[in-house]
Amino acid sequence: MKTNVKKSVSAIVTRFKSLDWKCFFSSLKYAFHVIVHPFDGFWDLKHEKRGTLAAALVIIALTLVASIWQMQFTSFLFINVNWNQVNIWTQMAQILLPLIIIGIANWALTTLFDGKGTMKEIFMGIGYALTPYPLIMIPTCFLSNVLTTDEGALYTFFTGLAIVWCVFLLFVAFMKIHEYTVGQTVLALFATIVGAVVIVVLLLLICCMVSEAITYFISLGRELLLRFY
Amino acid sequence: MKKRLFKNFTAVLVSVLACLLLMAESVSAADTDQPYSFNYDDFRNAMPAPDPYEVRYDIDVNSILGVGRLSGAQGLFVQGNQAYIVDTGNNRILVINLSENGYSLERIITEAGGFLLNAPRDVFVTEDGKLYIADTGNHHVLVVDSDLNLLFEAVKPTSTSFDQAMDFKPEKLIVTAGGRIFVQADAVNRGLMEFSEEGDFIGYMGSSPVTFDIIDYFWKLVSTEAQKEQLASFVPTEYNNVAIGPDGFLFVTTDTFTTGDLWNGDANPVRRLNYNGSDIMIRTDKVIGALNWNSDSDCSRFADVTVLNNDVFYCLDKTLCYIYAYDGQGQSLYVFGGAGNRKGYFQSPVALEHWNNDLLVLDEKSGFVTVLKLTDYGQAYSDAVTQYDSGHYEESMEAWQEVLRRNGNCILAYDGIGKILLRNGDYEEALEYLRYAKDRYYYSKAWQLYRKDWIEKNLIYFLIGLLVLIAVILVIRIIKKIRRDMAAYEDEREKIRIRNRNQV
Repeated sequence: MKTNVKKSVSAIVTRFKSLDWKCFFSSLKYAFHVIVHPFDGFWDLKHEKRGTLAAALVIIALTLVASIWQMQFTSFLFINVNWNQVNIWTQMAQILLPLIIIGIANWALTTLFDGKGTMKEIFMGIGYALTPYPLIMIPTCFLSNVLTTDEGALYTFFTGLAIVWCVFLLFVAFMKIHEYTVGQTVLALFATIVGAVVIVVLLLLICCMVSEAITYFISLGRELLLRFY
Repeated sequence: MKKRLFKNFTAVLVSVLACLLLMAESVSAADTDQPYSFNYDDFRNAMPAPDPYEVRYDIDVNSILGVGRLSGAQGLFVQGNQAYIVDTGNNRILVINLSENGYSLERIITEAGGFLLNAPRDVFVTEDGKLYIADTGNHHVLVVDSDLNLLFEAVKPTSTSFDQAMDFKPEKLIVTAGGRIFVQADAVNRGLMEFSEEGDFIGYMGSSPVTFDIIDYFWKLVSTEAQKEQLASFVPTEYNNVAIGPDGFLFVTTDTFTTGDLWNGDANPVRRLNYNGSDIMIRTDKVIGALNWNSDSDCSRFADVTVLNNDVFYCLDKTLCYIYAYDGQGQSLYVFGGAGNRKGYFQSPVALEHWNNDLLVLDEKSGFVTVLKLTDYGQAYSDAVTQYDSGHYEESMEAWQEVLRRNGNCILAYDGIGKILLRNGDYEEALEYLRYAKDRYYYSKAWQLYRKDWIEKNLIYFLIGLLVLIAVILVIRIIKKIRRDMAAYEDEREKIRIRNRNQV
């Protein structure tokens, strides 16, 4: 038993050590290049293989952390969090689910519109495009604790900046990954949003039907219990 | 193998179903009663609070005073130590002597100034004992002296602004210190009717402004005559009660509004009118009664309002049977009461008055007048508000601390203490209290001052730190340069040595 544990621990350690940490860190550092040179950056991300999915996932995770962090540490002057109703998983899902749905919808539609990107590249692009969010929002949290309401414009500015920057990067990412022109990207994004809505509607439909089915079986079960038990 | 898997699967399914069944059961059991007293928090949740008021006694005119049950009583008034109960259904007014421990009957008025009262609905008594009776069934306001001799009567105005086809049915009235009479009459939606000291009609006062909506105008333009009739006309709201504050301002209530307007803040169910008739109430919080409602039928509709000497006013909610207290700044102090037939609960409350700090509530259905007195908690609360308003901040702070000892959830107490601390210049502690109170305005102010102090105090360390940093950088640079030079010197010497050796 003991040796088993030891073995598995050492296996994990060796696995951990055998990972290409240098490559990972350089790809993570590459995000800083991407956000200031998006057109070059996303092109090289795809063609020069300078980004990794691992780094993209880390950035998405950081975004989630930043969004939670923001709720906890932003001064109450600027946000009003009802902690009785906060569920950390729902909070994360609120950010993660749209990203996943948009990624899938984008992949599904761009394969039809001869986009050159693969699913992996799309999600990598989304990940790298989110870099400004944690980068700006975490310091903004600290900043908000030094500001008064009169200086709230600064807070609003930084929040706005983070979102606008992210959206812009997302746009460029889709454009470069699928090798589209601007017009094509706009069209593809519009189609993506429609696709995302369709996916959401289908999901809701399934959820509704499943819950209906569950309530049916519950009432059936209750009826049986009342009658025979 | 497959069979076993299937067995496991069924077991899991059955247990999940059982769990769901149990959960469904427990949800219905978790439904709890509303507490007797509560405060609203930032998110419109009712947080239970200690009771600010408790029942002193119920005035029971039937079994204790032996003068028969009240029948559909509508009006209540307190002057001095006497309560006037207007027993509408029995066409009489009961005058009751109030004292701390009990009550007694002073007299019964059935006839005044030569008129037999006919379904009177309200009464106002001045300090010198003049009675103003809204004698609704006789279509006049009767003014008599303390011996019930007729002084004058205010009757239906002959002015064309009053619809002559309609009867004049005064329902509620108040009289200002100068003797002017303000009457809220049935089916009058132009505000309060104002009568002079001699009972002559002067005009209307305080009608709510008719709002003009461009979208409504558009629909009126395009709709046909028949459709226009179907549209709700722009009718200003009708008041349903009126009270007078200690400084002579009129408080009116109305119950004709939509819940949508209530939610948006467009409907103001209780207003404070100046003599121009414009609403000058300060509303820091929403002064609308209950903040949560599910449908039209369970939102607050006020029946009456009364204003204490410290500007705190109480609104009586006839649908939920709660009493809401607000201070002069329109901040919600507390809510208490409820529907029911237990002591301190009401069935169909119609009128609210105060006797010093006591509240008197007339219940039309049960036929009782409930006298409520402040508890220690309520007394501390009341003291805190009063002392703060009159500028006695130290006393106010002590009272607020007393309130906090009894109710740690009291947001207003944190706010009050925070403001006083800010005033005293104790910014750091003020910040803590104001953060609990979530008072963004004053927190921001306190923070600005605290930040300024902090920077002023620590600026010297910053400068020293900066100088030290610069010095360190310089030293490091110099050391580096010296090392480089040394290395270059060594290199040079080495080269010379090599050259010399080669030459040799």
